[in-house]
Amino acid sequence: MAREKTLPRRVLDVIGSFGLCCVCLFLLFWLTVFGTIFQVDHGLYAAKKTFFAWDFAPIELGGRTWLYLPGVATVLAVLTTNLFVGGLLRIKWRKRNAGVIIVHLGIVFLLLAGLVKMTRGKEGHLRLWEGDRLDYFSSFELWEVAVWELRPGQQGVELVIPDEHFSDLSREGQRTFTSPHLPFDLVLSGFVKNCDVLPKGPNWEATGPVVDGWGLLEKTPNKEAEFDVAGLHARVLVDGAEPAQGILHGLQRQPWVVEADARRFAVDLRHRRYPMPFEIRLEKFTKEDHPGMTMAKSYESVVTRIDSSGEERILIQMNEPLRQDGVVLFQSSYGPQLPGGAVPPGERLYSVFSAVDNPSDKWPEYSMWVIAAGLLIAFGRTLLDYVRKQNAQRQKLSAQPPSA
Amino acid sequence: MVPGILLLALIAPACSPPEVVEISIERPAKDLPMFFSAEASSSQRFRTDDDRFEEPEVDLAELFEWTQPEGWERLPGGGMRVIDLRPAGDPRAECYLTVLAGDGGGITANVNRWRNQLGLEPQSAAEVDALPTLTLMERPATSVDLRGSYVGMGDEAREGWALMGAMLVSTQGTLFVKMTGPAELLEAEREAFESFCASLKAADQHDSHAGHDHPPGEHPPEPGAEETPEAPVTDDLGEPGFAYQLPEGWREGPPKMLREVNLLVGETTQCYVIVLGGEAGGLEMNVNRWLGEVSAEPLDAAGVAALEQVEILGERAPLVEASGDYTGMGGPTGEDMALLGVPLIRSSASVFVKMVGPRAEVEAARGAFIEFVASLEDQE
Repeated sequence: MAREKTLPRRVLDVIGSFGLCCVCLFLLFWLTVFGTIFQVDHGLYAAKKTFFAWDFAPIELGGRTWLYLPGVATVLAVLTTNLFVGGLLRIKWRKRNAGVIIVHLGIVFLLLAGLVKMTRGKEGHLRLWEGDRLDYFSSFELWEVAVWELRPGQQGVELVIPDEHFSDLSREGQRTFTSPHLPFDLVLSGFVKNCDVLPKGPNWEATGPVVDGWGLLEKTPNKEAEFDVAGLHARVLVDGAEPAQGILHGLQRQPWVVEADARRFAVDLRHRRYPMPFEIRLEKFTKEDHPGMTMAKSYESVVTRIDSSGEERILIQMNEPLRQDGVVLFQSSYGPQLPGGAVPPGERLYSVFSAVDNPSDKWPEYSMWVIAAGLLIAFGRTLLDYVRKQNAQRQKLSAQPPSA
Repeated sequence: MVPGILLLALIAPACSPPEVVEISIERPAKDLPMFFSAEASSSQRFRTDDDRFEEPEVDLAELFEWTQPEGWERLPGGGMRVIDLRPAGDPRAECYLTVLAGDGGGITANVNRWRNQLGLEPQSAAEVDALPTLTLMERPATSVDLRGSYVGMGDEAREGWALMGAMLVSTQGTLFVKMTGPAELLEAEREAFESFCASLKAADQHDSHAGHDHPPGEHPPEPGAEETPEAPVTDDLGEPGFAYQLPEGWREGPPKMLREVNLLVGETTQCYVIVLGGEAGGLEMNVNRWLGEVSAEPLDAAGVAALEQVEILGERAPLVEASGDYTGMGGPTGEDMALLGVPLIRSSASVFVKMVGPRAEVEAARGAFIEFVASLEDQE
């Protein structure tokens, strides 16, 4: 008599079922299709934010939202769990299943690599003139508020408030930031993703308070998020003093300076900076044009990577990035450029690198090796079984007396 | 279970932060704007290219404070000259400040540009590195003192001329102070020139501290507090860096990337302190890296453990000594060089003190080096 399955066992069966795996793959297919359509109107950044997120993605067609699908991140998380439970927990751990188990492990690892990249990966760029050196890169679209004390002749330490701590602040929302190093509290509010800062006139409404006659004029975000310029309101609360307020804007020419406790601090809104585990110095940038044209045929940079182990000279060119300690630097552009790619006469060229800091940079490669090993074992075993079976049949046939 | 925990750990940061947040990210301030007015109005901060909002251009001279030496005259300036002075009122002499964006081509190129104006041979980067410093914008700046036949911009050669200059490179721009004139006149105005450079600083950023005389790197005392110059330096923002006793005859070098402390010893010897995150490759690797720079045989763990130990930041660390042809980074390269180094490996941040230069100079400075290392005090 068959034993009835317990509830946890049934749940485990569903989570690890082949059917759930198919549903996940089906959803991923349609999320990719609708995400691509969404990208046409809203740009890559918005598509990634909307479709690769944890929450539900709206499926829009003809200007109307038809339904919501779970975001790619959620589906991939479910798929990872499904593979883990189905391919590793539910499967019988026998010698003959070793290849399949290893393949599943590899796939889970591959999906985890994607998850880590999505949640922990950083992307940005750095721009260098020959002789310049930098040990950080700047985000394309994320922002940060930096606060540092103005002291003569010194560049000490700066306090940094990352994008995720204020980008959710709407016109009404506000958040207070404190630090034992600051003699004041900083209140941020009214984050605007894309805006101009203009003298307030009668024909437009400012987003948030008008300070010193200036206000933020909200604009529709660009398709390419790197062209957006953010704005934000800030207030400084000092014990026993009138709060000071100011506007922070991504293109401001000077930081906002506040005074508290007889000390002066600068508050700046700028693209988020990510430190690199090494420093990079541009030695030479070379641009080769097509014959008779100002359009670049190729361009490349000779850089020196500097870290505790010494210096290393490296050539970065198209499809040959610098890859070090999880950071990858790609040759991506140059400047200054006129429309069409020509360089204004007399200008010094600078080189632009795309930078990716991905803790799981090498994981996909490792997982490929694991999957390859699993497939080799699984198929090798199948081949071996087949050969054995063939041999047995051949022996059986040869043992039989030939029929008349 | 395992994927669930992993997912939670990854998703957790996506949750909305609370209403009051303590700022947790602190890092060394880099590439900060150097020249801006703390008193800037919103109009100045947000100036646009739209003519309706056009503001008068900021006079760069207003961004600086300085003390004009006695007997010198202020000229209207113009062009690239932010501050234009006439030393001793002598029309043959001139002294002016210029500010360029970026590194202005770098210290070595500019020193050699000035040398070329006086008909002198160019210097190598190592020789330029070893130039003395003077105080400019309250920081050590490369100092240049040249004699020769001066050819300025389109001028005829003037014999017996001199050029005294100072240059300071920062990621926000480069400052040049240049004084030219007859050699004997400039010699007489040397102190005035140095005091002018020393007096030059960013305006507005520290008005409230005006009238106090503080060495660079120190806070002014709180209002009402008693001044205690001997008291250890305190730093509210956790300023990275070290306090130390400067050995006799050593001098401060110009600031350099990565170097917390940069000192010059003798003719061309350099001594500097670098701090790297974590263990930076560990003790054995770093010792052998240094040894490799002078082509010395590497040491195994037992060899490293047997090295003489010296005191640094309240701990003990090995003293690495080697000599040979130096080919390492960040120092003068050449034959018959010597290297002294103390690597203090710590899990949080490792400190490397290194001296490199001609063997005779380094050997003569060995005792002072050990004393210097022992005198280091972490200011954090």
